[in-house]
Amino acid sequence: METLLQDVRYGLRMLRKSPGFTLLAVITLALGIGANTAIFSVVYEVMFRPLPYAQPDRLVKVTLQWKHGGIADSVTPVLASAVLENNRVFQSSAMEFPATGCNLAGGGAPEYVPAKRVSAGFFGTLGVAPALGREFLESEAAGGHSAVLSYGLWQSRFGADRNILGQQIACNGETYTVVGVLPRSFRYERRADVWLPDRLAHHLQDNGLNYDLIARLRPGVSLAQAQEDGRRMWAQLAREHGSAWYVRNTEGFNFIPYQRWLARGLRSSLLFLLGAVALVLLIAVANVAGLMLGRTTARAREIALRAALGATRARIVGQLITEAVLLSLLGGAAGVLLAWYLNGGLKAIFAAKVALHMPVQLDLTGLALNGPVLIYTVVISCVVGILAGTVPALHSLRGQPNAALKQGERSVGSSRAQRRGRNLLLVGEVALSLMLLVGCSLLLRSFLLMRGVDLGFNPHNLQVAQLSLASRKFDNTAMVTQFQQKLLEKVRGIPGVVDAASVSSAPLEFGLNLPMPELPGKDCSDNPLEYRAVSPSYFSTMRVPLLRGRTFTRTDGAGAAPVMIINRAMARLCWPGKDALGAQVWIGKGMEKEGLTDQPRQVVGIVGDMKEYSLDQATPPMAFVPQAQVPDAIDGLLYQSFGLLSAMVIRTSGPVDLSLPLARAVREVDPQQPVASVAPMSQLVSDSVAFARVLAILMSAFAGLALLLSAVGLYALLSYHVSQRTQEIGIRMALGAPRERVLAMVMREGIALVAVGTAVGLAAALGLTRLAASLLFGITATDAVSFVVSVLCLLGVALLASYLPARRATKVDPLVALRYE
Amino acid sequence: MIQLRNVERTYKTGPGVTYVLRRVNVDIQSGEFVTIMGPSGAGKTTLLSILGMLDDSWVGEFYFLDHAVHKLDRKKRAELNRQYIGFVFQSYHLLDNLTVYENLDVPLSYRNISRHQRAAMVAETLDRFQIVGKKDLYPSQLSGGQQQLVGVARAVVGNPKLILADEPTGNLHSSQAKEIMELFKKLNDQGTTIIQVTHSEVNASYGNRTIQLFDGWVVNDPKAPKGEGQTAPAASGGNR
Repeated sequence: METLLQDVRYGLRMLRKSPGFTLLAVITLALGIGANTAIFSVVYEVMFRPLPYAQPDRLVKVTLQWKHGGIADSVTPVLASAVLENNRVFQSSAMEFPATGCNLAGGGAPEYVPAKRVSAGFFGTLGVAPALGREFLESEAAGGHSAVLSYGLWQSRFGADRNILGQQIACNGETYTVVGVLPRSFRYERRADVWLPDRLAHHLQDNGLNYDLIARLRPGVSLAQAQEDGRRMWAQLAREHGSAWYVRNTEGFNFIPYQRWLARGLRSSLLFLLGAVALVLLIAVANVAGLMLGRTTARAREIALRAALGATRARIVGQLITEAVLLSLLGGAAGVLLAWYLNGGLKAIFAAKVALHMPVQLDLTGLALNGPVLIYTVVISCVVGILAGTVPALHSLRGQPNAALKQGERSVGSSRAQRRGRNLLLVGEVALSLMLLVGCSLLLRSFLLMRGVDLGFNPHNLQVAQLSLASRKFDNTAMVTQFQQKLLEKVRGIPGVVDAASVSSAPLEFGLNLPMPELPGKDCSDNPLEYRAVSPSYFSTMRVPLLRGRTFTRTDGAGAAPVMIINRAMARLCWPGKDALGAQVWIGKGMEKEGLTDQPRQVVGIVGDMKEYSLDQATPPMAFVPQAQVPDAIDGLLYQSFGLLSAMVIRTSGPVDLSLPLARAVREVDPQQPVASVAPMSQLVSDSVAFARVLAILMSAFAGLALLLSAVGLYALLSYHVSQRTQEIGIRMALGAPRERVLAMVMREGIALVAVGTAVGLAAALGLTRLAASLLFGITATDAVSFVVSVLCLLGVALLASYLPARRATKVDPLVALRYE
Repeated sequence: MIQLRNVERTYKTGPGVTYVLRRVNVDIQSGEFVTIMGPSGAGKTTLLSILGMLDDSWVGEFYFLDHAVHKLDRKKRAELNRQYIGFVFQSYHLLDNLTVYENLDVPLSYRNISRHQRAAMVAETLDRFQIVGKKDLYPSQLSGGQQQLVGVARAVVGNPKLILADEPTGNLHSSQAKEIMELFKKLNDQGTTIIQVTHSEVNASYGNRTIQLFDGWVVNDPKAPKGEGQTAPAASGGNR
C-alpha cells in the first residue's frame, strides 16, 4: 500500500513536471472516455436501467416465433386466451387491446388524446398502483364505462382536481366514470392519457395479431420453465387450431424478458455505437501509449538509475503503469465533463425525433450520468491506463541500464524495438480508424439512399391532418363519407390549398391489413393485403402516377358498381405476366364470421407504388376502395375497433400553416370533432428516418474523432522520427539529397505505415461490418463505394498529417552534419 | 577552381549581429590540397560549409568552376554540390541503418544515375578502397578507422572534383589517422582537389597550403590573391 502511495505521489509529480505531455494525453483520453461514457449512458438507460415497475425482471412479453425467422410482437385472441387459461407459470397478465384514441368533449374545447383499452388487472401486473383511486375490476372489463386518467391529463384538463374520482368524462361521444389517476412516474410503451377497460371475450372473432400480452412470472419460476410451459401449451393449440394461419406460420410462443423486448429495436444500433466508441477509445489509448513510449525513451536514464539502485522489474513496471492509470483517471474525469456536455446534445436529439419511435419506458430525455455510468467510467479509465501503460513499461525493461547510464539518453533513444513499438501502435490506430470510417460510410450511404428513395408520391407542399373517427356516430360508412365530403369542401376553400383528399390512414402510419383474397398469383395468398379507403381525388392530390385504367370519380358512390384500384406491387404479385385490369377481387370471401366480408370488386385502375410502412421497406400489395363503398363492417374495423386515425392529405401552393384554418373548418362541420395532428408530409418522412439520421450523425462524429486522433498520432510519430533523424537528414542533405527527396522520404515512411494499417483495417472491416448488415439499406456490408471513400479519406488525412513533419524535415540545416560533436 | 571575394557570414544575436567570417578572399586552384586551420570559433567549419554549398546566408562573391555561386539559387547550388563535391565528416556520419554498400550508394542515388551504373561505381569504389568484404556490414560492425574509410569512400564514389573534409581524423587514433591522410594524399595525387579543416599540424603537413583563420578573418594565406587586402591585423583581431 505504501509502495502504491509512493508511486502515486511520484506519478503526480512527474505529470506536473511535463504539463504539455499531461495535457495532450488527458485531452486525448477525455475524448475517448467521454464519448464512451455518453454512449454507455444511453445503453444503460435502454438496456439495463430497471423499468419503473415493481420487480420488472419478472415481466415477460408473450410473442410468437415465425417459422421464417423473426418474432410477432402480438398474438390473436385465441392464442392469448390459451395462455391466460392454461398456463402454469404466470402470476398475472396485462392485456392491451387494439389502439384507440379518445376525442374528449366537455369541460373545454374538444381534444384528441391517445387512449388505450386494457384488461382488468393490467396495472397490477405491471406492479403500478394508481396515485388516486384504483384500477379496473373484472366486472368493469365486462363492459363497464370506467376510465383511468394519466397524471398529465388530470393536471392539464382537470386542474389536478382531487375529487376527480367518480366524475364523468365524455370520450368518443360516450360517458365514462373516472375510477383512478396514474402516478406521475408511470410510463408505458406509447403515451396514453385515457385508459379504458376491455376484455378478450369481446374480440374472439378476430384472427389478427393485434393483441399485446405481458405476463408476470410466478415467484420461483424461471424463464426456461416458462418457455417449457409455452411449448406444452403450443402442442395443445396445434392440435385444436392446427389449420389457423397463425398456427401454420409460427413455431410457438416465445416469452421474452420485457425490458429486452422493449429494447429490441435499439439493441443492435446501440451495441454498434458502443463498439464504435470502443474503437475510438482504443485509438486514444494507442496515441497515449505512443506518447508515453516517447517519454519513456527520454526517461531511460532515470529508469536505468532506478534499476541500478535495486528497483525490481515489477516495481519499475508498476511505477510506469501507476503513472498511466493516474493519467487515464484524469482523462476519465475530464471525459465525464465531456460526457455531461454530450448528453445534453443526445437528450435534445432523442427528445426531438427518435423518442417518437421508442417505447416511452426508455425515456432517453432523462439521460443522466448516474452511479452505474460513473462506475463504468472509472472501470474503463483504469483499464485504459493499464493498457496505455503496459507497452512503454515493457519497453523500459528492454534497455541495458549500464548503457543508458554511460551514454545518456541519446544512445538509447532510437532503439529499433521502441521504433517498432510506436510503428505498431500507429498501424493499429490506422486500422481502427479505417474500420470506423467504413462503418460511418456505410451508415451515411444507407441514410442518404434511404432519404433519396422514391416515395411514390410528392411530399413537397403536402400536409397531413389526422382525425379520430372513433365516436359512435361514425360507425357507418355513410356518416364517415358525409363528414369527409363536407370537410374536404371546406378545406379546399382555405387560401393556399390546391387540393385535398381523405384516406383511412396516411402513408408511413399504421394502416389496416386484411387477409389476401384468393387470386391467381402463386405467392399472392401468403401476403396480407393493405386496405385503404380513399376519396376520389386521393391519387391526384398525392401525385401518385396512374399506370393503367382510371382513378376514382364521384360516380363511384355507394350505389354504383363496386370498384377498386390496386398498386403495381399487387398487380405484379397476384397477376404475374397478366393484366389485372378488369379482374374481380372479393375481399373477405368466406370470412363473414369475422365481419370482414365485402363484395366482388372490379379492378379499374393500377397506380404506382407508394412507401407505406417505412422508407426502407418494400411497398406491400395494396387495395384502394372508394370510401363511399366501404362496407360498414370494415368501416367499423378501421375507425372504431382499431381506432386508426383517418387522414386528410392537403396539397398547398406553398408553405402554409394550416393548423388554425383547418381546426376552424373541422369545427364548422362538427363542433365536437377535434383535430389530432397537422404536419407537413416532409416532416413525417423525415421523422421516419430520424433514428437512421441520429445513427449516421453519431457515427460520423466518432469516425471524425478517430480520424483526428489518428492524424495527431501519425503527426506526432513522424515529428518524433524527424527529430530523432535530424542528423541523418542533415547528412543526407550534405551528401546532396534534394529537399523533395527528403520530403518524399519522410512522407513515404508515414504512408507506408498507413498503407499497412489500411490493409489490416480493410481486412478487419470486411469481417466486422457484417455485424452492421441489419442497419443498412440499399447496400451490402461490403459496399465497394463505402470502402473506397473511406480509404481515400484516410489516405488524404494521412498525407496531410505526414506532410507537415516532412516539410519540417526539409528545413533541417545540413550544417548539423558538420556541427555534430 | 574557387574564388572567394569579400565573403562575409553573420549570425543574428539579439539586437545585433556576430561576424563569423569577415571579408574572406581566397583563391584555390584545381589539384591543390589546402588545409584550413585556426582556433575553435575561428570560422573554419563555416567556411567549409559555404564552399560545400550547404550554407546560403553569406554575402560576397563566390566563383566555383566558372559558376558565379553568389548569383545561383539554392537549387542550382545544391546541383553543384551533387555534381562536384564530396564530404568527409569528423564523426564519419555513416547512416546507421544502411550497409556499407548502401551508404556508398546514397550520394549516387541523389543524382540522375541509373541503378546499373550506380552499382558499377559502388563496386569500383569498394574495390579501390579494398572494402569489398565489408560491403554488407552495418557501420556499428566496423571500427572507427574502417568507418572513416567508408566515409572517404562515400565522398569519392561520385568522382568529385573537390573533397571537403572536416576534421577527418578527429575521432581516430594516430595509426588510423595516418592511413586516412595517406589516402587523401593519394587522391590528391590523382587530381582531386582537397580542402581539409584540422587542428593537427601533422595532418596539415600532407597538404601544400595552409590558410589560417582567426575570429573570422583570414590571417595567413601564402597564396592570398594580390590586391585583395587580408586586412585583419595579424593575430590580433583587435580592430573589430
